[in-house]
Amino acid sequence: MNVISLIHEVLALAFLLVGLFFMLVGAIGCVRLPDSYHRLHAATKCSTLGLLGLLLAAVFHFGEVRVLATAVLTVFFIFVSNPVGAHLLAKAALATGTRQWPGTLSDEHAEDGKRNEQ
Amino acid sequence: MSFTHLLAATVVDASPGAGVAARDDAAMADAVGPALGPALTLTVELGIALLVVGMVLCLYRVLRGPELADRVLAADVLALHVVGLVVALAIYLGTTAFLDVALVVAIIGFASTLAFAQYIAATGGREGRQNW
Repeated sequence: MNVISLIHEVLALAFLLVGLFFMLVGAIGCVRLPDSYHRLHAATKCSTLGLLGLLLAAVFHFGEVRVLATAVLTVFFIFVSNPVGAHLLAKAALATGTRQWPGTLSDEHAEDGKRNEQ
Repeated sequence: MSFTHLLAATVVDASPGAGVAARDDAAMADAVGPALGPALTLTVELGIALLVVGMVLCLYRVLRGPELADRVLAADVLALHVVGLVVALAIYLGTTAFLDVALVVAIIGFASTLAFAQYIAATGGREGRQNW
């Protein structure tokens, strides 16, 4: 094994570990956090970053242009679609009156609503 | 003896005149791409196990979630875990063709999330309401 392929394998290993860590944190946050808005906060960001790590690991492991192109396309799509989906879900939850955790410190949406009424 | 070697062995057996060692190597390079180092093999196996654990956690939230939004969010994370699992399997088996599957699963997951978000906004999150 020459030096280049060794570097590729070490990079693939590192990105794989980072990606797996974030995917697991996202899943745990999805279970453990107290209300819908907190769960949105944990799940979408963690799984976005986790998938970036996994796809970079694939790119460094295979070292082919075709894999790089597919991975860039997938990462771009996920980075665009995941925040949009989370935003729409949060809007839908807020519109249907999903209750907030009692320990929530500030609710800027409700404050804006009061300011508009005055 | 990992799964990649088994896969390579079946491919080699199928081709005519497979006894030669040199042709064995060539067929293996053809079939499975770059060979996995032992550390990477172990990490990918561990990673597949961790992704399955994450999918079970998401499934718990899908079944349990008090609001409809919780269930939809957990299903979205579940779809992203499937994407991660497909990428990990592509590394494990050495098949680049699986990466296209990852893109398709990501697109379908996003479409389902959008559809469910529209559904929640339209029905007010009350399951089984008739007039919407």
